[in-house]
Amino acid sequence: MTEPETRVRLLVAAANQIAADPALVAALVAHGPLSRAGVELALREHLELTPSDAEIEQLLATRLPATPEATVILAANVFVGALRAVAVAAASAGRVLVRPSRRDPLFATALVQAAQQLGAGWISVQNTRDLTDLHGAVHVYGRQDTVTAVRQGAAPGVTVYAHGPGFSVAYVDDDDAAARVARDVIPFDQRGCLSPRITYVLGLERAHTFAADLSRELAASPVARGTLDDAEKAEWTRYVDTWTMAARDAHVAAEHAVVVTDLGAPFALAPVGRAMHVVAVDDPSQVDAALLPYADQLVAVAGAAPLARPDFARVRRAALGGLQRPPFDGPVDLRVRTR
Amino acid sequence: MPDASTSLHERARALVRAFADGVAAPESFDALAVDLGRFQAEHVPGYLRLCARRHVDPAACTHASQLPAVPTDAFKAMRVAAFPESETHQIFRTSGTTVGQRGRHDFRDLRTYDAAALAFGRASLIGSGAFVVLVLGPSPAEAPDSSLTHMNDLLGRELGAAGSGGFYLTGDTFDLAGLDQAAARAVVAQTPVLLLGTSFAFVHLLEALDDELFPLPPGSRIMQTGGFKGRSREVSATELRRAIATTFAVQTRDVVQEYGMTELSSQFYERTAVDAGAPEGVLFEPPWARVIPVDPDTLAPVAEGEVGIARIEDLCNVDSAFAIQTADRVRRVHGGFELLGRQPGSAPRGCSLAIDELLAREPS
Repeated sequence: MTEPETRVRLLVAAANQIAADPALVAALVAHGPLSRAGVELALREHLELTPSDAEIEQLLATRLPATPEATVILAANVFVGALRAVAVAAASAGRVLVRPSRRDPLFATALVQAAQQLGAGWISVQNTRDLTDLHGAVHVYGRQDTVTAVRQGAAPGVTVYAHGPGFSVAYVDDDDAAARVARDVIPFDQRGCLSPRITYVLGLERAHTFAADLSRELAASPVARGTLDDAEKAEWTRYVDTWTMAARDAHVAAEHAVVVTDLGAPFALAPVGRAMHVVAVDDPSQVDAALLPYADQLVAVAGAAPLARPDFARVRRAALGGLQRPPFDGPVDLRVRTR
Repeated sequence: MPDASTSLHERARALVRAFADGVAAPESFDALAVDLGRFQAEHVPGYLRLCARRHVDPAACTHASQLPAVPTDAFKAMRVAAFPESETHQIFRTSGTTVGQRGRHDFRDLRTYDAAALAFGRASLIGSGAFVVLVLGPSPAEAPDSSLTHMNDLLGRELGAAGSGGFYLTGDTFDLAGLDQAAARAVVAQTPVLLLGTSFAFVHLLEALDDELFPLPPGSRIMQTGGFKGRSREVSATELRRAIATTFAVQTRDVVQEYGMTELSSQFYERTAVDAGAPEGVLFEPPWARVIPVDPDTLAPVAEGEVGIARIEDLCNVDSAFAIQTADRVRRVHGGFELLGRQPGSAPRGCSLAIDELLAREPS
């Protein structure tokens, strides 16, 4: 086994240790925005505890140029994403420094500590925001502001891999998709870049039916929505009030909202917090046209949308219901930009 | 329906006239507001649905505050109008980025807008004086769908002394020679100038002048409006006010901030130029409009002195939405309100893209 593979497999082992730690679950519930069921769902179904050999092989095969040291600057919200982010760095660097999100440090810190207990002397937590102390490679995740600050602050010679913000969409052309789309919406209360914020549905009648079905699925979910912060609540209210007026149909409840529009309405993204903007299309090619102006922000699509243009070449594809469980084959976001 | 609309317009203009004439209002704010709410619930598509979502029966309302406000985003998502498109007399559009959508505000009858703009513009900017009104902005021919340009043109045509009405910005280019000549003529006529422009335009003009002074006749005033964050350079409101005052040789209290938006028919001003005791940085409403800070989530009014986002009730918005919900942060103070910037969009953390972030960007 090569050293990179050893490091990656050790991280997976560390993740398996902490995923079963009730103290960590309790802390994530107490200090994060997700409900207990939401945290448990994330750890159970969206943390890559059993990647296949083929997946690990793929992750190692697509690794970045080797470097003695890499720093991983993590984002908040999708806390389990720390495993993949650190593994991507560890596949190419002999020493890995992890800077957890200040808002959401628990899982990443626990992962590093567990790895150290398993004998990994090559990894450590670095609780600093100092951008002058970066060497080798930097993998930065999160808002564009953060990415820009790192790009500007890192010394010449430091390679910055930028995993910026983005959004995902779903495409539905059958009559039985609501439960699968709900499985993509519920994890992390839609805070991740893999969370679908728009569903394009082929046919107006199907769109109305899908919206009603999705609303029922979200209402029936045993995974309660967690809490929204003040800015999220404000955007939720603004979105719901706007589209209550402007949409063809709106299903609004305390913890979810589904609105139906068509391509005549302006482009909009549903807000964080289990909302879905359903857009009826007459032809699959209309999805390409609608998304083209936003192609550089599109991370993934679920379903069989054509997205045939080269502009969409780096968009990750998934089956409906599989958006939030991509193979452990490298960064979830294929748009990674290098400075 | 036009009869009902016409009657409401007349009632709104009667309030404006009463203010202009210094006499008592013919009816209360709430009396007209609830009638506007009922009219709009009946005729503006979607507003009755919004009322229902908020469990409000417009027929049972007795106060303006009971009726839900229409988010400014709705003006981007749909046509917020109580009349068919064929009856549209004027459309004002919001500014927008290349990717972002522009909002639209349709007017069937501009007389109410114009009456309100003139009455409160005169009271806040001019008082009993006479001014040559010049505009550091585009002409109506260049920006026919800009409500600010319409208002600037209106103030110049209706309130300005002889020599008013020049527009000294075309595209990105200032006509400094033209402005200089107009100011020189005002000096000869011994008439002060009222120079109208956006903060953005003034920032750029100061850059273009590069510390050179551009003195206006004694007693001149400046009206500046709008934000300028993210533009070529960022300066504080206080710094900009001082810089404008220095450059144009006017008192800092004669640099007056205006706050308005495409979705409204009324404007708000500082009173520093016309009231020696008025505080700087505090904007005031005309009696036919209210600015109420509300909680961003519940939309309930916040406690006196606390910061909320602005719910604006404007009785001159007859054919669209008399109450609109903005994302602008405000605080009531000294009988007016302070403007504190925009409520940030959500997703302040993590990798999930915020809609504001998406629509504010230029295409790649």
